[in-house]
Amino acid sequence: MQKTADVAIIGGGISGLSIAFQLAQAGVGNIAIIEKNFLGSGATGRCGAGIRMQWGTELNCLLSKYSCEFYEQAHEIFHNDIDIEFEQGGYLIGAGTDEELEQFKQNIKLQNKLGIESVFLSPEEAGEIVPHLDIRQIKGATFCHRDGHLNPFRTVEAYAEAAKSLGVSIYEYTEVRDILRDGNKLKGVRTDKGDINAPVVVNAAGGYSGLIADMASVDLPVYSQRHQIMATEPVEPMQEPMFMGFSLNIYIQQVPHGSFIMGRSDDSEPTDLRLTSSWHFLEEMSRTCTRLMPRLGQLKIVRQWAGLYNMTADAQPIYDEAPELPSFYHAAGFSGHGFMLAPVTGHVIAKRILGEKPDIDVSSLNVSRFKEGGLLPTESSVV
Amino acid sequence: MKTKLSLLKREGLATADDLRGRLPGEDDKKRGPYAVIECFEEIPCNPCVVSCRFNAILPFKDINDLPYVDFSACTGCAVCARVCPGLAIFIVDESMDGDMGTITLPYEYLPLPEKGWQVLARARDGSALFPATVVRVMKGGKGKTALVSLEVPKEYLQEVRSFTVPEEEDSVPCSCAELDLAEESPTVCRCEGVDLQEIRDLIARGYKTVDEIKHRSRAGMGPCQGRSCRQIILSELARDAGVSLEEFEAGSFRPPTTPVSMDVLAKGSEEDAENS
Repeated sequence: MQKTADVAIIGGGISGLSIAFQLAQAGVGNIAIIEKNFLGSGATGRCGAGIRMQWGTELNCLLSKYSCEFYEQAHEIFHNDIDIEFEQGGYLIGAGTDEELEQFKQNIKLQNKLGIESVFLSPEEAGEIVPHLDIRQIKGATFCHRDGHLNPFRTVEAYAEAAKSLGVSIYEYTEVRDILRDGNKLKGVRTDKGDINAPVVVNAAGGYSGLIADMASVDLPVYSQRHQIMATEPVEPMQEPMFMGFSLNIYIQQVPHGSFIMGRSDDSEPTDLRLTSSWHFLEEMSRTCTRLMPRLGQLKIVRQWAGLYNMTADAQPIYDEAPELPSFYHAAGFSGHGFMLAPVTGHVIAKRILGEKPDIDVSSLNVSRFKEGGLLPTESSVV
Repeated sequence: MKTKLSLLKREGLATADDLRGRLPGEDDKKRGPYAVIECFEEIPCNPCVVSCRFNAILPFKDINDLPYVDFSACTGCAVCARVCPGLAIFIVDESMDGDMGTITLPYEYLPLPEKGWQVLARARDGSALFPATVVRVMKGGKGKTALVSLEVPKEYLQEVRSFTVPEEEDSVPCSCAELDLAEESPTVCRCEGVDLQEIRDLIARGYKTVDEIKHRSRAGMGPCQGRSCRQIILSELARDAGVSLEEFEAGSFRPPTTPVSMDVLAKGSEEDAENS
């Protein structure tokens, strides 16, 4: 294992890989990714892997638009032949209440102003796109045809191969045990395989980013909550877009393989890093799904699993340098959207490390906002 | 949660522990031939139970139950052994005087040996034991498996579980490691259609665990949740690394253990809600 690095990145998920790739592309020579398990073994390999540009705040729209455009061109950017299976079947987002319907109308205006080609649909029009949807359950919907989903495992592989070809070193099955500092000066990281001296360290540990911040003795106001997903047996293609509802509390997509995969959120889910599965979820998810899409009730569930959302108080990420420890950077608190934001995460963190201005102003996503009462406007477009 | 598999689950080899409750007492052994059922898979399968004319296999409450023999009723007639699709039933006869007994084995290879042939008796793991004489052959056909009886020393009646015809040995592949993949790569994961060559390619590219291979190939993600492919992938990983299977984690096990429709799941929840 190497003894020194220009930048040490903790976490071999999609965020860490993206940061490493962007830094390497910008010419940083000696980058080490340290992953305690294998690449994509955390939330990245457990997520729904959807990409959407339909958000309710301007910043979220801009961040996700950057990522969507990146994934559209990933093949050319990565210079490898790994198919990340970006299926742009759109996102159909259903409004469950009149209040939500009004919010969606505002969202559409904002999105269109930013160049996002979303449209407002009546329940009947939504039913034409997803025929097995019980349209009596929705008040209306929005649709953006450029939204879609990817294969998270292939995306990890594509990022990793691209990063490696630019000289990035990846250490799997290597666990960070401590952050080395001398007073306020960052020294590097200690792993179970040895120390790496590095003047710059990035905390991209996803669900475990709070533990890494504790090792560095810096404040990172995040917590991790379990979220579950279940998958059906594969069937013939019948649903092109991801269907999503916020008050309806569901996201459901049919992946190219033929399985439907779906998730919902539940405030009672544990926050102690456990990754177990619950029977309760199977039942509640089945109820939510079959109420909206009765025909899917015949489908059998073959698998369920869990992953961690790394949450912040305003459900938006933290992109910042730790005020207490210069050159220690946070890319954390994605609140369930780390996969879709990964390209922009790599961009803004790399720019920050290089002292350059990113394409999108993310200064409001600083780590101090939680202390100063500077929470961002609430984003209601989340499951 | 990572779980280590027993020898039976890992390599399909039954141990004395697994056979507890499957063998008769001394009195029943002397009475005449009897069936030994080495079935450990709780799958929907019951030809043995319904074929027995003596009600000597305990009735199932559920079609997934495992069969157990009532040795006071079993006559060793071998009807069950001829219909077991898993070739998991053997007929043992140690009722005669002297040191020798017979073991009757289901046999699906060609050529079918004839009475008087010398064959090589083999143990559960396929290892060679000793030459043995064929004393009886019941031909197969019409859905029934051929049975071959060998004369073996009584102390080996619970050891011999297969045999090979010596002249044929060179042409019989006995493990995946010896298969010639140039012809056709055998399927490892039937649910997701993943073949052995794909698994070996991934291992050659540095994928080190069952879970990594699952992520990349989908092997083990299907309805059976890796019940067969997991063991094959583990043995391929072990073979590549040149270490024992036990060095490897068995990988994640995902619920539900059997596919369940969402209608059924949703209904359960509604009943709970009404009851509470």
